[in-house]
Amino acid sequence: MTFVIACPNCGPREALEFSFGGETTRRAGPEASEQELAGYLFFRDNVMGRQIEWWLHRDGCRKWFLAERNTMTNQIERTFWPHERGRTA
Amino acid sequence: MTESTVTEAIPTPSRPSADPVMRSPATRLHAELGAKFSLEAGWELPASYGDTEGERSLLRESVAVADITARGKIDARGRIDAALPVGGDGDLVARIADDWALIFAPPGPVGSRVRELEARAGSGAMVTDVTHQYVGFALAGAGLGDLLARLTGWDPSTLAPGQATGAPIAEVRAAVIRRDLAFPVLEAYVDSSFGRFAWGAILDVARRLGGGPIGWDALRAEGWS
Amino acid sequence: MSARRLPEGPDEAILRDRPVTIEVDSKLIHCFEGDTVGSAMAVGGITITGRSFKYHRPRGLQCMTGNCPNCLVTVDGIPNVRACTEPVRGAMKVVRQNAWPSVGADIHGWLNFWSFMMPPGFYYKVFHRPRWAWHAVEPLIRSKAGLGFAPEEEDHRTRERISLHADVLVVGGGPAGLAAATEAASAGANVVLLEQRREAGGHLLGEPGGRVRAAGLVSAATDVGVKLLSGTAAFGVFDGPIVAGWNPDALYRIRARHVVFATGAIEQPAVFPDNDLPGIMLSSAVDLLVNRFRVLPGRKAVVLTASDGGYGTAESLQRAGASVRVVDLRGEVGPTPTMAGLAPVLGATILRAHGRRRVRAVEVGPPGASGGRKIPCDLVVLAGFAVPSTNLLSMTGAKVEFDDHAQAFLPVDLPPTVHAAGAVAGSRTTDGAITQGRLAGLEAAAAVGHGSAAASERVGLLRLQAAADGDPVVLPPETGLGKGKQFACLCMDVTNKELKFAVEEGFDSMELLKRYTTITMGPCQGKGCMLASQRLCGKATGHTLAETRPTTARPPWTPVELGTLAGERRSPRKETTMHDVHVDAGAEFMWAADWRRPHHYSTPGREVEAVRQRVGLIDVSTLGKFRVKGPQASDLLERLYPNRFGDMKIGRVRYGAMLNDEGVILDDGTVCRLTEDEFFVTVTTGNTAALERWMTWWLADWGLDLRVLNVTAAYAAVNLGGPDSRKVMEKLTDADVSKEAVPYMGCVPMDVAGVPSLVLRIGFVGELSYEIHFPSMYGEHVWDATMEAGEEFGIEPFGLEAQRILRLEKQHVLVGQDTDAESDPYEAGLGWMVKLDKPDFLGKRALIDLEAAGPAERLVGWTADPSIVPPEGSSVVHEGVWVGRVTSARRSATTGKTVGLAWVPAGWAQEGTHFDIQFGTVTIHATVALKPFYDPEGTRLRS
Repeated sequence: MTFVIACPNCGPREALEFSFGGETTRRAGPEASEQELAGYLFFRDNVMGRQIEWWLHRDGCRKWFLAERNTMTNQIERTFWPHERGRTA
Repeated sequence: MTESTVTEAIPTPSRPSADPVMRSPATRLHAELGAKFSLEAGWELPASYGDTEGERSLLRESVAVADITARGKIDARGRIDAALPVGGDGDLVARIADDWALIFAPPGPVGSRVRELEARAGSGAMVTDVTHQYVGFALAGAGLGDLLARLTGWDPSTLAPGQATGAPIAEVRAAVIRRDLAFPVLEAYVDSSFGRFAWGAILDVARRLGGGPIGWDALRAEGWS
Repeated sequence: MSARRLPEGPDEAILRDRPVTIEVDSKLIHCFEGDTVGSAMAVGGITITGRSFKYHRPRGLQCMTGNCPNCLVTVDGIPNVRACTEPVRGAMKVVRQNAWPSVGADIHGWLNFWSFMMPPGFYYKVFHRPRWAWHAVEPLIRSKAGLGFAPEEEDHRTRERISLHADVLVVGGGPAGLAAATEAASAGANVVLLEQRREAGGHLLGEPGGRVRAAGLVSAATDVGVKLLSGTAAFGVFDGPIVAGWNPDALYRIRARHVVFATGAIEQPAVFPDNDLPGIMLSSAVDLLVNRFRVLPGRKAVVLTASDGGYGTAESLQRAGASVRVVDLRGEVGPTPTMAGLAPVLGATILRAHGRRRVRAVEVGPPGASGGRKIPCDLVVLAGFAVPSTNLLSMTGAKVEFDDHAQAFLPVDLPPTVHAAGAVAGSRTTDGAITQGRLAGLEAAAAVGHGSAAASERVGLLRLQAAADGDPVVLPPETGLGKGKQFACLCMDVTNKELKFAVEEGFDSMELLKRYTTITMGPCQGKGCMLASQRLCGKATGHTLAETRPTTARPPWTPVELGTLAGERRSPRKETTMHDVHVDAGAEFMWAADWRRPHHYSTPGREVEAVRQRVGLIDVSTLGKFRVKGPQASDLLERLYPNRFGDMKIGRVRYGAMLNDEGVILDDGTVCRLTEDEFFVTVTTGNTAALERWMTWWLADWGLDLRVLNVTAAYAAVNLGGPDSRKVMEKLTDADVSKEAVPYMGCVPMDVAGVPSLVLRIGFVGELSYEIHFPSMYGEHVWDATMEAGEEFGIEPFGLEAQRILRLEKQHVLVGQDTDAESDPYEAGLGWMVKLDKPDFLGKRALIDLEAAGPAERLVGWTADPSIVPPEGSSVVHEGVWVGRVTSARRSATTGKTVGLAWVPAGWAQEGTHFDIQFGTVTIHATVALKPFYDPEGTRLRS
């Protein structure tokens, strides 16, 4: 884990300063079916290619942000704040 | 104005006094190094390690580490633009993110300042007295670059004088502010639970580079406050 | 002075006024400071430097640059030190390796004769029948493997870990690297240069006049501020890119915006029968020995070359007093005076070597001839077949392609921040290397913002000059002829015949061949054998060299000490602000997550008794604490917890457990309401960091209007518990601490010992108790004041072990110990906190199903005979079948029984049910007790 992530607040930093928060998901609410709940809890898209995922700048500004990362090359295409994405849940 | 009385180094455990006194978690470690303490605004702080002149020379020749925990500290979080202090008054503002700033004041209570800032900010921000949350270290001297190279993978040259950011120091997350004087100075604040560990880790490396601890007297003589 | 030591020379690095004596296998050798162990051995006439890995064949100095495995020796107890580059020190003790009883007379020499029984992979094929034999044979085979013995003493040498940041990093301090660094630094970039040898200069250090030229290049670099790290080898390039380097004092992590690789080219040996005999060297070795160390390694030399460069080495030898014959692969060469004096044999190669413990003669003839002229010699020099050292460069993702002119794989397709210059990029002259270096330096500097119009012009000019230089390369034949082993890989003792057989067995590509025969996997990592392996692989599979790509480059490129990789490990530890007080009170400490906490002060039993009978004090500062404040603060709590908090009154505290969306319990703690929109939340010590992430993430995702701050370190906390605790509180504060003013499950701000605090009346230990939270740096003061106030009541400090016993007597659940990654609140007995009528909260959907289905197992209290305490984790069994487990167990003096918690089938969760607990061969009988073992109605903690 020696690649570099550009925190939207602090700029480029060592990946070790961050905590990974996983692929973005859509939460299954209280009305969800059993299938939907299981899908949300236990399945991920796990794409080979560009993935939108959560990162926390744990050792820096301590903010959560989103990154679009190519899971094949570890290149991070862009990083942005949660309020800048299309609304999900 | 603050009153200051110099007391001898405290080699034995503290005994309770009528007036509660605040001390950095690393106090016992300073005492073991021969520190002389002074009492200022309710804080027992390390005034010197027995040789103020020698401590000052470390700044030019290698690197020095001071325990600057004895400051008032305020955390402002949220929509803070309105909350931040306007004008000097000895305050040091570390704006780490658009929604997070730390404010450092001279030793002394900050309760009324916190209430004042919180009232100014309104419900969109939270202002908290974090005087006890953080221990602070001043890392200073010509050899600061060599010291930091051994304490962190963060690139200190990306921080301009007067700027603040969050970065790991000795494997612990810290809020750091660059405050160069006649020599480079970096102030680093870490959770007080890590106080003894961080002091030990930083001083170890400083010693290896020919440096050592420095007290408030020497630092203030060099223009720090 | 030894007959082999030459008189003073202009390029020597030895200090003749500083004699040194070292011991090699009990032979004393007199040498000078500046010698290496290798050159000292040459001075001392030691031709066998060690025995080879598998066949125990005698080997001698070959490269003198640290690339080959021949000279690995044990120095002062440290194994596998490269003698050729290790500087001598007074009183050094050197022992040659891999031979018994001595390198000169090694009983394992017989392995050489039985080598036909040990082809690559033989250990997969032989010694398998009868099966029992393998167990006898394997230890014997293992004992023969490896080189050298690990030292027995502990190693406490300090190694630092240093992170460097630079605009431009140059890897390699030869002419190209020095030129690149100088240009980049002159342009204003911040430049770091890594050079693995102690003296920078690369191949110049062996050439006549080269040392002075190298020194000039070095000063030019350091004068413009290049940070030169000599004796520091780059061993890997990782994602980023980040370059890792090391020397005996430190591990370097270097993050540079641009990297220039000037790693040079590595001379390769030729393949012919008995090509591994001592006395067969590369020209780099001879150049260094003769010019730098002033040692004559032989008197009758044969030099094999295919370029003019080889004649320079031949001339140096001749001047030093050796008789020299040159064998030139080229059929025609332009005549020069040098060549005339050496009478070369043209159009010929070395067909095979003769000798047993040292080369005695070579047979010379046209490539492919069945026999040739025998020339007696004691030194063979293989000159000028060098392969670009692209391994580190390849780790950046750069690709290599075969270049016909250079007869080598050269870098193409470099990533945008990576440059290559010098021999690694195909240059074959020093001036060419310097030009390429300058070009790379300027380009890198410009790319990081230190360019200029003048610089761009120079770049253009340099590009023209930097095109491939030097004569076309002619390689010696892939193999020689005749009997005798022809070694492709010296490290692992792999011959061309073995490679051929392996290909015939089906391992018909470089990657497969490498894994099966282990070629290129030894100490040299392919430095001296990749070319030969590729050519022989190609030959055996019917491909050309161009079609046989080298294997994937991986770190480490050079051996790295494990101590360096382990390096300076700092494990952060946390201590409360009362730590020194606990030390003075004689506490025994334990680790709780990364905190140091008192386990006990006197004995747990005595501490339990103090709390139950009188009053005790425990430091609970480690609890995770959060300030949660804002217009939507109660919204967040309503969503994070199954409990209802929105209706909580100011000044009240509630116990709650956070769930995830599986309905599984993550953590438990308390929530106090301080104002309409401000809450004080506590969580379990060990989960604080994880819960900070959890809470702030949901906050970021939901975008609610409030702020959360982790104030764990801002507040210290103590729990003052016991029937007399109120009396102590009355002495510590002027505030009203009556039952009405501070009720059970109430939280009240007040000054305690003169310090503004928040007092919570909660009852983890099952007695009247006050959890006092106050600003942490008053820690010692508050503790001391409380102990002093409690003295008349017989107060005792108590530690974690006593606390565990006390809480267990009340059946208070410890999340993470009594619950696990599947426990939901219903089965853990916490179903009372779940309010399914709330619109939504984490876990609601899963809990709807769980509630309907009912739990399959339940967490229950149990008692047993006090004579024995089962270990936590013991099995609950029914008719020999595992049906549950014990999560907590202690002997309880208060109740006179052994008590605990366990998971049992739901149907057993009835008061009085008997069941068995089993651990090892021991079975004990337990009885279910659904109510707390002590004070089941809870009157004491509500008093």
